[in-house]
Formats: sequence, structure tokens, C-alpha cells
Amino acid sequence: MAFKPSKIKKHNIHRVQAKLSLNSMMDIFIIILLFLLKTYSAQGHLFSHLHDLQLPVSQQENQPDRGLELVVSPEMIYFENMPVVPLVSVMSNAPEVVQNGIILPLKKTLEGYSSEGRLLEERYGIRFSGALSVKADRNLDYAELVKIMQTCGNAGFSNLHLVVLKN
Amino acid sequence: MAYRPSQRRSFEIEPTEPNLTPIMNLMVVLIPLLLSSAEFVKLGVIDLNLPPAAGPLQASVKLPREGTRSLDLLLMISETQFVVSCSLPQAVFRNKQQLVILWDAKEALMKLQDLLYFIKQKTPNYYRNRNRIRIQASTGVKYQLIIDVIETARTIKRKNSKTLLFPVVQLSAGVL
Repeated sequence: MAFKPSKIKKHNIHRVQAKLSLNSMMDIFIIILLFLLKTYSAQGHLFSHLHDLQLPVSQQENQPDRGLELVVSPEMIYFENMPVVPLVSVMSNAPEVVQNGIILPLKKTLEGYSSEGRLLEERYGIRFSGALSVKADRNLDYAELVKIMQTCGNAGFSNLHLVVLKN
Repeated sequence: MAYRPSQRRSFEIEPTEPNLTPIMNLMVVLIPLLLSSAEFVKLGVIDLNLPPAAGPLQASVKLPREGTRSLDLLLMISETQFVVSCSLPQAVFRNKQQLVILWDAKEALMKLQDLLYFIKQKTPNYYRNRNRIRIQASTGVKYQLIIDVIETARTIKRKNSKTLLFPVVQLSAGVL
């Protein structure tokens, strides 16, 4: 049987309250906060991100606008994040894909959007600018670039914004 | 005059610390918020206007005005060289080569920019399309080089200021 605890001793125990020192953590948070404030962008993420895409590098200072987006990755052409046509069939000029330098599946997709834009312009007065942001891989061949641009122009998107990485 | 504190005083003044918990709470909210809107990759755009597709609804094409000359600046890019042609008389280019060999891309772009600046300076004011350059490239030329050339052809940095060269850039539909 255990001894009865002494009442005298019990009163003499100084219970020390453990305190978490927040000063160093505050310092870290302030540094992180300053860094994040410096990289803050009010525009947010305007463009989708694809891992296999390497954008060309440039010193352009124009800011990208939010709009329709065409992505040309080394494997596939995407429009608004939807795969449209594999780039291999564009490169090989497959007759069911490319005719007279126009990429048929892409043209069909773009025309759907441009006709809708024109309809909105007629009905509600919302101007159709024909603007399209093009995100293409830096190693894309000029011959393919021309086909894509020709198709865009043919489908009514003549105002192209070539998206680049700022230096 | 204040009284001297009694030496019999038994309690000690403990150092007081500010309560950091509300500030920590604020930080915990602020940091994820800023992280979500942080711009780690900076993007820019190059505007390019394509000519509208030919069709019956298109306005009639303007005929060239008589008596005015057009600059018709054309830059041809192959994997090994840049070739510049324009309607300026050949006498203007006495000591200047219109061909830039593409050994080192950076050096070649600088030489090209010098050549374009020279053309810009030598172009009389009455020439039409003084601000326009048409770019044509061969198969195998990469998109990055096209972007570099567009950037080179648009502006030049002289004495800490940017001077416009040929801001209207057109990509030719033909492939060399």
C-alpha cells in the first residue's frame, strides 16, 4: 500500500506552466509573408498548366488576357483543355486531317466557337474580337506553326496572342 | 518624488510577453491565401494579327497608290542564316551585308537588329509600310527562334531607351 502523500510537500510544489515560444515562428512567417506579397498577382492563374509543354522565352511586357486558349504540346493540340488532334498526324499531313494547309478537326472546333461568338454579337452586342491565346512548345516546327495559324485565321480567329515565358 | 520601493517587498515583477496567438492565426490564414495567388511563372504575350480569311464578304482589296513606294521588308529565316530584302535601292547597302550567318543565335540576332536599325534609318518618310516586316521561315526552324526574331524586329534598345523598329510583324503563310 502506498504512503499517503504529505500535505506539506504538496503545497510546496511549484507547477511551471510550459509556454510555447512563438517568436522564432513569427520571424519565419513574416519572411514567408513578405516573399508571397512580392510574388502576389491579382490576375491569378490565367492559363492552364501542362507538364510536357515548354513555352518560348521572351522579354515581352504585355500582360496576358483571359480568353480562349489553344495549346500546342509536342504530342497533341488542345483547345480549351480538350484534345483536338494529335500533332503527329498534322506533321505527316494525313489527308483526313490536313487539307491545303488547314487542320480540319481544329477548324471545325474553332468554327463552332467563332459562330457562337458572332451569334452573341448579333443578339446581345457582345463584340467578338477573334482573340485567341496560343501556347505552343518552343521546339515546334515553323511548318506546323503556319498550319495552326492558317487554320485559326480561316476559322475567324485572326487576333492571336502568342504566350511566352518572361525572362 | 516617488517613494523608494520597500526592501521588504517579496513579489517579483515578471517580464510580460505580448500575446502572439491572434497574430499567428492571422498569418495562418494569410499565407495560404497568398500562396494560392502567387505568380511563380511570369507570362507575357506577343500580339499577332493575321489577315482575315478571304471570302465574298471581305472588303475589296486596296490597290497600291501610284507614285508611292512600299518598303516591303521581308526577312527569310533558314536553319543557317537570316536574309533581309526590301525595296530600298541597292546603293544603300554598299557596305552592309543583307545576309546574317546563324552560327551563334545570340550574335546573329544582334547583327540582324543592327541591320534592321540601319534599314529603318535609311527608309525615307514617304515610303509606305515603314513599320511592317514580313517573316518567312523554312521547315525545321523552331518556334523559339521565330519568337526571338519577332522580338528583335520590333524594338531596339539604344541609350537605355527603346526605339521602335518594325512593330507590325506578319508571318508569311508560305514555308521556304
